[in-house]
Parts: sequence; C-alpha cells; structure tokens
Amino acid sequence: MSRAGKTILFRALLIGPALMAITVFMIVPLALMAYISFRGRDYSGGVLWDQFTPEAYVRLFFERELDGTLALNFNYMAIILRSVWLSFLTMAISLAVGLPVAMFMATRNARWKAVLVFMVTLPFWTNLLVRNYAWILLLRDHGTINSVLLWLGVISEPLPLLHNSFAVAVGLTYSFLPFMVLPIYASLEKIDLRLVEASFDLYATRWQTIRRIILPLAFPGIVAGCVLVFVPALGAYITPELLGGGKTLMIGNLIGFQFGGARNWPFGAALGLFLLLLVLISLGLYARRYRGELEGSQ
Amino acid sequence: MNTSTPSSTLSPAQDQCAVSVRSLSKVFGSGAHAFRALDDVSVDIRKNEFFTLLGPSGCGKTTLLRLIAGFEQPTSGAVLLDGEDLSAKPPYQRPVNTVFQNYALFPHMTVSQNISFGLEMLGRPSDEIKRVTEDMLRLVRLESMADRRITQISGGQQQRVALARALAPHPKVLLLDEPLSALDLQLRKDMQLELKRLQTDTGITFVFVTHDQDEALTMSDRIAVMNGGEILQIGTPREIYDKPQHRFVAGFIGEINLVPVQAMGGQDYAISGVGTLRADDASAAAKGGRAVLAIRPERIALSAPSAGTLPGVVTNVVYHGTDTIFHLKLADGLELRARSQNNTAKIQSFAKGDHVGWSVDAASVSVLADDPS
Repeated sequence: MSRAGKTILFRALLIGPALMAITVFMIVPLALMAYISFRGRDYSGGVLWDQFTPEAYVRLFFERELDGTLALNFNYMAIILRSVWLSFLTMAISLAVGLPVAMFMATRNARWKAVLVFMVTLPFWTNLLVRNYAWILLLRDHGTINSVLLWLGVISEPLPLLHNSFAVAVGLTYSFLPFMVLPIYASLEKIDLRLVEASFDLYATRWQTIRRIILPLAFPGIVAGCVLVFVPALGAYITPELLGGGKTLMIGNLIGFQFGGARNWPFGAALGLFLLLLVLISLGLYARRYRGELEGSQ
Repeated sequence: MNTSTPSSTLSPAQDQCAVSVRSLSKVFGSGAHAFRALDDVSVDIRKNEFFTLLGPSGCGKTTLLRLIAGFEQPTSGAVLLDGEDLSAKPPYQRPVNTVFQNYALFPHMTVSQNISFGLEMLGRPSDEIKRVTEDMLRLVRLESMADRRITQISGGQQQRVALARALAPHPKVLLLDEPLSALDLQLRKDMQLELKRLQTDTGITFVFVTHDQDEALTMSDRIAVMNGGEILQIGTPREIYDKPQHRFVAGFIGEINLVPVQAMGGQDYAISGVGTLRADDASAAAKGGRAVLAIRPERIALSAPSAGTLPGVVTNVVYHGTDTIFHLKLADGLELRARSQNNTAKIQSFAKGDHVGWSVDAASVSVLADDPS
C-alpha cells in the first residue's frame, strides 16, 4: 500500500469509531423519527409503516372535525409557546441570579473558589427526580414555605405555590442554575484582574467597569450558560410533570404522552422534530445576533 | 536610616509639588506573615518632573506607585496631590493614570477604543473625545493602527497604545510601572528617548518605576533609590552616580570600588598597608573612625609607580572595546578595578603582573558609613 493510502486508512481508523457512534446513535434515530412522523397512526400503539400521511403535522395546528373538515386548534401551540416562555424565563432568572454568584466566586481566593465550585455542583450528587420531589414538600399547601408563612401570620390562607407555571419556573431554575453559573465563572476567572485596575485607573466606576470590561469579556461564558439552560429547559420532562401538575404541560410532557397514553407515535415524532427545529432556530438567532461579540472576545 | 539631603534635593515649595508622599507605610498580611513593603517613606515629586523610583524587585517601588494610583490602601501615612489628600478617593476619582507593566490593554476593544476609554468615562463630549484620540494616535505614531484589535499589533505598538491611553485624559501625574521591561533592547532604547520626549511635550509629571539603572540615569530628572521598603537617596542622576550616600546606592548603580579605610582627620583616609587617600566629601567621618570610600573605576588614573600615587599590582586585564578594565591587587589583598577609556589609538597599556601607581581626584571619592547594609 502506498504511503498516502496508509495515511488515509489510518485517519479512517481514527475517526471511524466516532463516526459510527454518531451515525448509529444520532443520525439513524433522527431519520427514523422523521420517517415515523410521516406514517399513519396505529391506535393500539405503534406505526402503520406502509401508510404515508402528513396528518401528524396537520395536527400541530388543526383539529379534524367529525365530518373531516379542519378547524384551527391552538391547544398544542399554547403548550409549545408556554414551553418557550418558561424556558426563556428560566434562562433569564438563572442569568440574573447566576451572574452575581459567578462574579462572587471568581473574585475569591483559590481555596474559597474550590469550595464554592464544589458547592455549586453539590446538587448533582442527588437524583433530579428526588430533588424535584423535595420542591413538592417545600411548595405544597401544607409544605414548609406555607407553614412558616402561616405560623408567622403573614398569610391566613396557604398560597397556591404548587402545580402552576410558577412552580415549574422555580423548579427549572433550580435544576439548571449550575449550568449557568459554571461557564460564566470559567470565563470570569480567566479575566486578568489588571484589566479591572486599568478600568478603575481610567475613571470607570465599579458599575461602568462591569458593563464595559467584565461583561464583554465574560460574554462567551454568558452565551454558553444561556444555551446550556435554555435548550434542556425547553425539553424538560420531570420538573413540569411533578411541579406543574396536569395543568402546566410542557412540550416534553406532550411528547411523552403521545408515546404513552395517547398512543400517537407519529404525532410524538412530529412534536420531537418541531422541538428540535425550535432549538436550532433559537441557537441560529443567538449566534447571528451576537456573532461579532463572540468572535471579538476570543 | 541615612536620609541627609543635599541642597539641590531639599523639599520644594508646596505649590511646585505634584505628588507629596507623607510617611507612607504599607504592611501586607498580618501577624507572623506580615510583610512591610513600604516603611515610613516621604518624598516630594515636583511638577513637570520625570521622577524615577529605582530599586531591585521587592524594594517597595511598585507598592509606592500603587498607593499613589489608589489600588492599595496605605497602612499609615498619606498621599497628597496638588496639596489635596487623596486617601479617601478610589482610583477612578484620582487625576492620575497608569501605564501598566504588561500594559493591561482591553482585548475586546480596538486601539482607538482603548485610547478613548478614559475620556468616555470622564463624560467628555464626543467631538473632544474624537479629537484627543486622534491627537494621541499621532503622538505615539499609530494613526494607521487606529482600528486594529489589540491582539493584532506588536508588543512595541501595544506599549505605545498603553502610553496613549494613559495620556489621553491628560492626568496631573502619569505613573509608569516598568513599562519597558517587556521590550527587546533596541526598542527599549528607542522608547526611553520617546518617553522623555513625550514628558517634555506634554508637561505632565512622570513617576517612573524601574529596576534598570541605565534607564533611570538616561531619562530621569531625579531618582529615588529604594531598598527594603525605604528610600535611601534622592537626587539627580549625576548626584546619585557621583555622590552615593549609601553603600547600597553605590553598589546598585554602576560599578564601584568600596575601600575600607580609617579616618585620619580632615580629608585624609588611610588604607591599611597602602597609603592615604584624600576625599573631598562633606560627610567626613570622625578621626580614628572606620569608613568606606566609594570610587568609580573610571575615576582611577593608572601610571608608572611614582610619588603621589598609591601602589598596586595588575592581576587581570579585560579589554571591552571602548575601554579596558584593569584589576589591581593592593598590598593587603584588597582588590580594585580601574577603567581606562581607549580614546586614543596609542593605548596606555599595562600587563598582568606589572607594578603600577594609581591615583584618584579627591572630588571623585565618596565617604560612606561603615555599616554593612
């Protein structure tokens, strides 16, 4: 074999396992999902493989009346919009809470930093399901928060804290906050403190220094944090299931329901692809909007 | 500590004074780990002066600079600017700008954005910001680089951006923390002249920190030599070089011979086993007391042994191109170096082993206290 041929073979061997993994575990399932979304629905669960129909996508926006006519149906759109809204809210709250936390962490000494990073990652040691159950104990009518408020006399009736959008937002923020804090902390930690001194030296106040020097330099971390919170929040399943009750479904629960109780696999697959599309669009918009800043701060 | 001041370095009148440092001390840490970086330092820096803080690393020069800038809070003492106490003011309220050792340029901004930053923060009108920024770019000869990113320009250019950025707000005092140390030799030589030119052109008081004695001698109007958190001597480059008042100052700047002697009274000092030497120095030691004479190698004249010279034997001859250094051994094992300039083609030459006579002008001899510090 020629030398060039050997090089090509060697490269193929090196990249092969990764290519295989991506093909088998990502491209094939995605293609299967896309295929299923255009197949007929088997009411007993499963798919009618020999039947082509766009019915699943029609169902996203329309309801088929008994006589076969189509009527606009916003029920599913409402769930999707709520998912986007709750994910966005989760991202915004995580950013508002996480940024100061990350700043605090990044300005401690080395020993404190290690302790604080450990504390931020501490919740990962417990299962997400267990942690969400814990929030039920905190938020329910006779839970910790309401009991304390009642005992203090601040309120006379328990506040409706559980099984609503508020509970879901709290749960999602709690679950994903570390994903916001850690990338921002990592980018803040790299900032040369002398730049902050230089900014002070050039008459910038603390606030101006944060706005003009620290935030632009931490921007890649902030973008990474936002993506890492928004994307998984959009597909969240456990938190809305436990804390949202039946009334506050998110798109993840809807998909789960289609493959379970509703026995509508094509529709579930279509919803899954629609969610993927949403994520890709929002990432695309983000990258487009902040391309300049992202490149500039490298 | 010896802080006697020659007439030329007496405290200037307050209204000529840009920065006045009053018994400033700075202690880092506490308890057993406490480190006294600055120990009761007082100095008056005049307006429009190129003032240099010279000393080895860890001598407290950078700490003094950071205290003036406001990055550190003094343990005791005060910094006055134009007679006004700065103690309560954060760095962003002090009309003082700094050129940092590693420039600390903002990497996410262009060259001109860096330069205009200070003016923007001061809330100057945009037409003024634009005009001053252009002036500054011209001053440091970087007009063509205005829209480059900091990462796209060379180290020397970054150095000049740092200067322009600090000069743009026209501070009362410009602080420079070893700004040339990262440049290569030729660039450093050029920038030394450039800095001096900028200081003269702008009329801003420069406080320059360096450990490089050459740099200090070339650029400064006055130099403060620091060691161990104290200022040992303040004077013009010539005073510091010609009349060191402290053993450390003598040794730190240039080459010097330190000769232990005994005071004979008057201006005469005896070198044991060699002879007597005359020193024209006001700070004469008491008769019979021990002292050290500091003599620059280039001030020692060599000749054939004769009356009026002191005896020595050449132990080594080192040729340096512009000059030749003769290593002499004196009668009691004392070593001496004499530098003779090769300013004629006919070089006065002595060989290893030659017995020679050496002499030195009384005005070229400094008398130092005989303490080993």
